Formats: sequence, C-alpha cells, structure tokens
Amino acid sequence: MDFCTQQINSKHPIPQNPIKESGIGLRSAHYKDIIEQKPNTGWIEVHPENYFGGGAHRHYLGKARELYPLSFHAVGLSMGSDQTVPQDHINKIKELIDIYQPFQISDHASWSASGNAHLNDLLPLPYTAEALQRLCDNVSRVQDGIGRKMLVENPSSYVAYQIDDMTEYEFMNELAQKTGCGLLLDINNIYVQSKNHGFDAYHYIDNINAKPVAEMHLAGHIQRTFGDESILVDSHNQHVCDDVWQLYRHAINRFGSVPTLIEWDADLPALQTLVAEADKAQEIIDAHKEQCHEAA
Amino acid sequence: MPIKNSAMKLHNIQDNFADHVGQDETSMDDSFRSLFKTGSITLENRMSVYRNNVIKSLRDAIIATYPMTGKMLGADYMKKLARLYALDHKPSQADLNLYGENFADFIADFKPLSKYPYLPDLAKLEWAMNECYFAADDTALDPAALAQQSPETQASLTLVLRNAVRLCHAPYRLDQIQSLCAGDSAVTALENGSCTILVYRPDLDVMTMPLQPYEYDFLKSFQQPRNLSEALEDFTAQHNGIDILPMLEKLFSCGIFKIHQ
Repeated sequence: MDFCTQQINSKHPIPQNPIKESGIGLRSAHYKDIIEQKPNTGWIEVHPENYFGGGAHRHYLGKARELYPLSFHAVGLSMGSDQTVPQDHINKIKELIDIYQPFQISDHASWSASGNAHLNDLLPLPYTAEALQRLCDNVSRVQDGIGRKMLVENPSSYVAYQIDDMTEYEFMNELAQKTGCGLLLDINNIYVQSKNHGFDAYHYIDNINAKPVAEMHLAGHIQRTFGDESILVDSHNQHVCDDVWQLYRHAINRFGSVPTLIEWDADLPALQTLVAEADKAQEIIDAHKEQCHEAA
Repeated sequence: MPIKNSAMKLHNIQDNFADHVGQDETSMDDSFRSLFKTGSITLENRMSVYRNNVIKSLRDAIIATYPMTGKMLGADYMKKLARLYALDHKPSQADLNLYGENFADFIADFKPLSKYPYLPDLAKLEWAMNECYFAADDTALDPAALAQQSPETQASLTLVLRNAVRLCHAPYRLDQIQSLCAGDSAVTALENGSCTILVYRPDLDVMTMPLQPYEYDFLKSFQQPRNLSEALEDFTAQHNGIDILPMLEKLFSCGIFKIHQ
C-alpha cells in the first residue's frame, strides 16, 4: 500500500473532535494494544516527526486514526532558534496534516537548532523582546505554512536568564496576542519550573490569559540530586504527582474543560496504566463541569 | 574582550549554549555565566541536566539503530562508543530516525576496534535496514500484472528499485553474523569469504536475503532507472550460462521493483 498518498479510509465516520477531554500519547510499544483493545480514551497524540518517511509507523497511525481524534505535538520545529524554521520540515508536517487530519497541532516555546547542529532537546529561551520577535516570526511562518492555527507550549527549564525582560507568562501571553496562536499549558512544566526557579505556580496560572488556552499537558517528573542540591527534571516516566494534580484542578477551574494529555514517553507502563491516569484527569474535568452546571 | 551579557544577541547565546550542552563538561567563561541566575543550585549542575538530555538521547538513538553491532560489542561497550559518537556528531535535522549515518565510518576510524574489521560492514548493513524501515512508501510492480503484458510492453518498461531497497556487499560473511546475532547456535565460527545481501521492505517489515553475486550485479543495474530489455541483454552477455528465468521469478516476487514514471 502506498501510505504516502494514503487517505484514511474507513467504513465508519472518522472521529474529528475528542468525545471526551482526556487523551493519551500513542507510542510504538502500544501500537497493537491500542488498535486491538480500543481503550476508552478521548483522543491520541503523536510526535509528527516520528512519521516522516513511510513504513510501519504510518500504517499503525492510520489504523489508530480510524478509532480516535488525533493531536500532532511536534518536537522539532525549533521555533525559538535565531534562524528560520526549515520549509522542508513545515512541508512534511503539512503532508501529514493533510493525510491524518489532526484536531490540534502544537510545538514548544523553545529552541533546539543552532547553526547546522540540531540538539535533541527543548532548550530555554531568554524572555527578551528579541527572542519574542524571533519566536513570533517562526510561529507565524509555521501557521502560514500549514494553513491553520497552532498551539505553543510553555517549556520546562533548568536555568533562568538574568537578561529576561519579562516573566514567562507575560512572554506566552504576548506570543499568543501577536501571532493569534493558541497556548498549550503544561502544568507539570509550570510546577517543575516553580521549584527550580522559586516562583509561585498558582500565580503563573492566574496570570496566563485564559482565552488562548486550548490544551493542557500532565506528566511525571523526577528529582535529580547533586550532593546537597537537587533539581526537578521533566522526565515523562512517572505518574503525575499529587501537587501537580492539585495545580491542574486550579487550572481547570480557570481555563475550563480543555483537552488534556497524559504525557508518558520513557519507561512506558502498560496501556491500562496510561488510560487510568487519563481517567483521573477526566474525573477532575467532569467534577468541574458538574460545578459549572450546578452554578448555572 | 568578553561580550557584555546585555549586548549578547540571541544567536550568540544559542551558539554558546549549544557548545556547552553538546560536549563533555567545559569551563564556562564569565560572559556566558553572567547570562544566568544561579540561586541555590550551581549553574554547572543546571547545565548538566541539558547535557545529559542531549547526549543520552543521541546515544540511545544510535543504540536503537545498531542492535547487532551492540550485540557484538556488548551493551556497556556499545553505550560508551555511542556516547563518543554523539559527542562528535550532532544531527543536522530534527528527524532522529535519520541520525547515525556515519556510524560505520566512525567505527572504522576507531583504533581500539581495528581488530574487528567486519564491524563497519555490519554497521553499514544496519544503516541500510534503518533506511529501508523509514523510506517513503511507493508501489511495487505487480509480477502477475507484468506477466499479462505483451512481450513488447514488457520489453519497453523502465524499472528502478523501490525506495525501501538497499544492496550490501561485504568482504565478510555478514549473513552468518546476522544469524549469530539472532541466536542461531549452528554458527560457531565465521567462514572466510564475502557476501552480498538484499535489504528490502516489501510492506511493513524490513527483510534481508543473501544474493548470488550475479543477482547482486543484476539488481545493481536498477539502482538507476533502467530499461528491462536492455538490462537483460547486458546481463546475458556478462553472465553466459546463468538461467535467467528462475532469477527473475525470485527477484520479482520480492516486490523490490517499481515502474519508473
């Protein structure tokens, strides 16, 4: 089969929008389980860079797409780099969008590429006018290239710049205002940063403009120790911790019932564990809806 | 003269940052250090988190792409070798599936492994398998449909190998090393001699198949688009005495050709 020009063909209607807000990542170790077990999750998320080219990955993505709405969460556009996002990368994502019709497309407010080297990590930006302008230019370039609005995610970071002109939430608010992009709030990233840099995570959430927020992420983190020092690392290999669940409840009350992803990329557990974690998020969303219903 | 941090432009910051996280720990000059707040955690420890993320992810990508090389070297040695490669070779694009192309050359130049001259060829075979796995899909020539065409139409076809096909030649018995890595207890020692291997992905799974030298020659001629009739004439002239029909049946049944548009 020619998957490059493949369209999703199914006897049944292809789901476009999430039937419930909580979703899980589709990772290769779970391909067969998801397709065969059809777990009760609202949507699935993939990194589009894993589907450049052809082969088995695309086959399984096509099968999963027949069952679930899909979100593309890119990790390689490097929109914060002081260089233009390569058109080739945008074109490859656009090709995948045309085939798999995701309901959401996102990447990060960070950078990975410097010159010809692409460092495989989400590196931190200084929150300066220059970095904001560069990020805005690249977000606009990507949105023009794919022909639709995207979401940009707040990163986790382990250093903070002296030269910042603004806070991260001001930076994210400005980005959304200038480019029309949506925001993807990673609640674990806010928590990790609040501990690493010493700020109030609730204050951060209360100062993000609510309107652009269209998705949230939840993940586990680890504590890395260096003698007497320790730092929290956004590791995506754990259950979401109690403090982050608490922060998420606060965020749901502020931003409403937006799609929420459980990110788990390393030390993958059984599929049922992932789904159970997503169910916990859904319970919080449903409780919020119930509160809103009663208040109305 | 050090650059004042307030004047340091974004591209300078990112170049400096990339230098610090892409290499083993290096000393930070004052102008770079002054870009950051410190607090209770030293800048060295904060930067080490990024360094670990970058190098470990690249190292792990190499280990995943070269499982047979890893098996021959042992897991600990492979980790160290892949880490050295990652320190010296940064990807030029975001697609990590295409990272590690030069690993075979790196092994060939790595003096401590010079006693194992087959390792670079094994790594080349694994890279060919990786390329086939991620190659863009295309449509195979259907041998049944070809058989229904008139001899004139068949002769006029221009064919080329599909995107997910690679040909490997090595002066060592890579096919036996493959068997060894797959746990075949019948292989106890490598025989002398060379081998030629077809690497292909007819559908979802990458496969390998040893080739006769004349089969390898025939397929090599289709690495560029080639008229089928001319290719057969040339082959017959060079390999007098080879029965061509069984070879064509075998190779066409692998789904490795496509019609050149």
